[in-house]
Amino acid sequence: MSNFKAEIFQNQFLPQGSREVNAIMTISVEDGEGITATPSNNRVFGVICDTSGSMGGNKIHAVKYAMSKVVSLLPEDAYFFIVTGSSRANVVYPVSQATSLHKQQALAAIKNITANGGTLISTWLAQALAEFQKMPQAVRQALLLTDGQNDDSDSQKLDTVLQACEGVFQCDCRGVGTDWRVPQLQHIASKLLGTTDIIPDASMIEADFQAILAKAMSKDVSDVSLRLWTPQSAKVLFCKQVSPDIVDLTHRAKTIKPQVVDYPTGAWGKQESRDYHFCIEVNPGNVGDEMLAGRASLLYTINGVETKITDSRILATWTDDDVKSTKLDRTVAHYTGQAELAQSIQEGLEARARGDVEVATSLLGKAVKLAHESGNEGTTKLLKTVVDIQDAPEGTVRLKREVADVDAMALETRSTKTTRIPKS
Amino acid sequence: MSEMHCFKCGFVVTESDRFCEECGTAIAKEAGCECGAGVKEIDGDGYCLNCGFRRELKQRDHFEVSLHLSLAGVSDRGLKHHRNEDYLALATVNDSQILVVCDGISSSTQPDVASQVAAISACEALTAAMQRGENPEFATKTAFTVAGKYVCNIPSTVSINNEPPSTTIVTAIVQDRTATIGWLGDSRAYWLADTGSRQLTTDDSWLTEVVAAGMTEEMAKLSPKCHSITRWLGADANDDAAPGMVNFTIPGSGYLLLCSDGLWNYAAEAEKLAKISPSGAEALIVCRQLVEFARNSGGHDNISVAVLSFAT
Repeated sequence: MSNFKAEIFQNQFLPQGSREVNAIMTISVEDGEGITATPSNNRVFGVICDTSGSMGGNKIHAVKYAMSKVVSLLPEDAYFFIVTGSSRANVVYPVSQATSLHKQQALAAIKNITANGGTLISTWLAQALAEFQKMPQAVRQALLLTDGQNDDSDSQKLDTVLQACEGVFQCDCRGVGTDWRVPQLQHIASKLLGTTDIIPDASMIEADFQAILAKAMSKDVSDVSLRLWTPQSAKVLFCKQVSPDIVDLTHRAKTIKPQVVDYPTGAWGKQESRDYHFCIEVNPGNVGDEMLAGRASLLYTINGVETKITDSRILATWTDDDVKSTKLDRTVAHYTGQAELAQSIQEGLEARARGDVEVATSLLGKAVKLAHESGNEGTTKLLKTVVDIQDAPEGTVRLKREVADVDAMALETRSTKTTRIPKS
Repeated sequence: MSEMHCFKCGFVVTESDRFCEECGTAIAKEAGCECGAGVKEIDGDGYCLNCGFRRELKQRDHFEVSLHLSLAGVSDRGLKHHRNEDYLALATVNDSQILVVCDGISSSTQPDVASQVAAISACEALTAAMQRGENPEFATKTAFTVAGKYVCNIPSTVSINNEPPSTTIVTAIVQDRTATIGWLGDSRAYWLADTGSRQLTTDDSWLTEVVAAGMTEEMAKLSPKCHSITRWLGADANDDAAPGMVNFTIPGSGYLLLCSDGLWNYAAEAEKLAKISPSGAEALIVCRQLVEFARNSGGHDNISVAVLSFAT
């Protein structure tokens, strides 16, 4: 049983005439009395693997080994399938329950995988979609691995297929080596509510696959939506997930009825915790007026039946008391800083890539400062692979002359990871 | 109220109708919020589901006083005003009945405080006076002075744009079938009966004064000043604010009605008001019906009514 808890952090007091309301909503799942998982509790895990020519050699060996490990680790009540692809997709093993017989058969099939051909990712996803559609009620999670770039000819098809896949299954994307493009995989993962990461070396594939499998198997409730009601004349400036990593959900809003939109958040598992940052523009009231600027709830739908999990209010009260209205809520300030941090890294890396040393130094320096202030050690460590830090609190840095591709790509992919607010 | 009627022609209308299908008159929707949203669209915490502002249904939005079967009053915020700036107070002392209705002047500051302070202090002063057995006319004049002082003492920031707290007031002391009525402003007293219904007070308004001076009512009503009040309780009122006074002998069965302009703006003639009132009913029922009539007619202003009923 999953127990969802939601909490809002904000300073509800606004100065006269102010229109912008900011709030952070923290949602955590704990074990205990609470929402039941999807009735059937079925989980489907799909492995989607690149078998194009470039995967040949130790990469394909490593992948096959990792896949075998995943299959053997699957719990018996889970379902799985394996799809490989190059210019065409191939169903290595169709959707089946992870019984020992099926596992044996799958392992045998994996042994026959070879690498050759081009890279048309749309075909792989289309095939995976077909497999997932066989089990519409289950919690559907996939893992996609590639080592290179999608063929340009496939771009349009990929977008079409992604549209069809949206809302059907979630997919975590991994790029092994450094010949793939971060934005490409991020595009897929963002549409399919998944994460993107680099696997620097083929030998690390196995560990990564296991982690992804474990996460997938921990998912209890599927297709959870974050529903936001706002007053009539209000405008949602943005809605972003800010923890564990930054995902801009603003344009994923689906209008349910006037004033109500749903943001997809995918499946939730035990012990999960995510934070969301809402920024809503409202018509200001008079001093003393109180307003419900937004109502955020989490809900899931099974068989057309909606179940609300939590419900939180985002308030606004206009005041002429400066002391009240100028206080910044710590949590809002923290995440605003984290978002700025991620943006500085993105823009800094872009500047570096086009040779603009001055801008890159300034932006990455700002990133170092923000990471230091917020205690985001993970990001600081990544930044150190790209810059030499001279003064962290001041943000004084110097670009390293030689930066390994793998380090730059790691920073690029993981720049969206945030920390929670440090305990003061 | 399960069945709603068009106030103009009596045709049965439903809650979702915006216009009467029979005569085309607009039907007032129950607007709970300033933005136009209905009362049903305000959630349990008082937030409007349309505009988001907090509009708790405050006690003062609608309150009723019922001293006995023949003496009652109802005050209602109406449909358009964001708060109720009317107030009323009732009292019974031995065999004297006391009624007070006050209408805070919207253009002044804290009109809601002004009307409440005036109504309560006037009612208390009248009660004390009747307990001492004073002459009703004298008691009324004293009560107005007392109430005037209280209203003037309301703390407020005075500026060019802000008029100090001000309110109208109409009072009635009824003893031995004689009603002694005092007033300042345009809140009124009426006698309603099967025959012989009449308005007992004359408004202290610009309109009344220019018509008395010779202007036709049609001409006068064209002026934007026509609703201006010339006398009231408040710091900037004339010092010689002696109330208008009239004595009236109760002829038979009927209702003595005191009301704010939120009611009479929709039915100024005594006969019309008499027609709307149920006959031979409890005072509270009469009050509620009159308030509902005003709301159904549009409820543009706060509505307050106080009724003393006479069976014979």
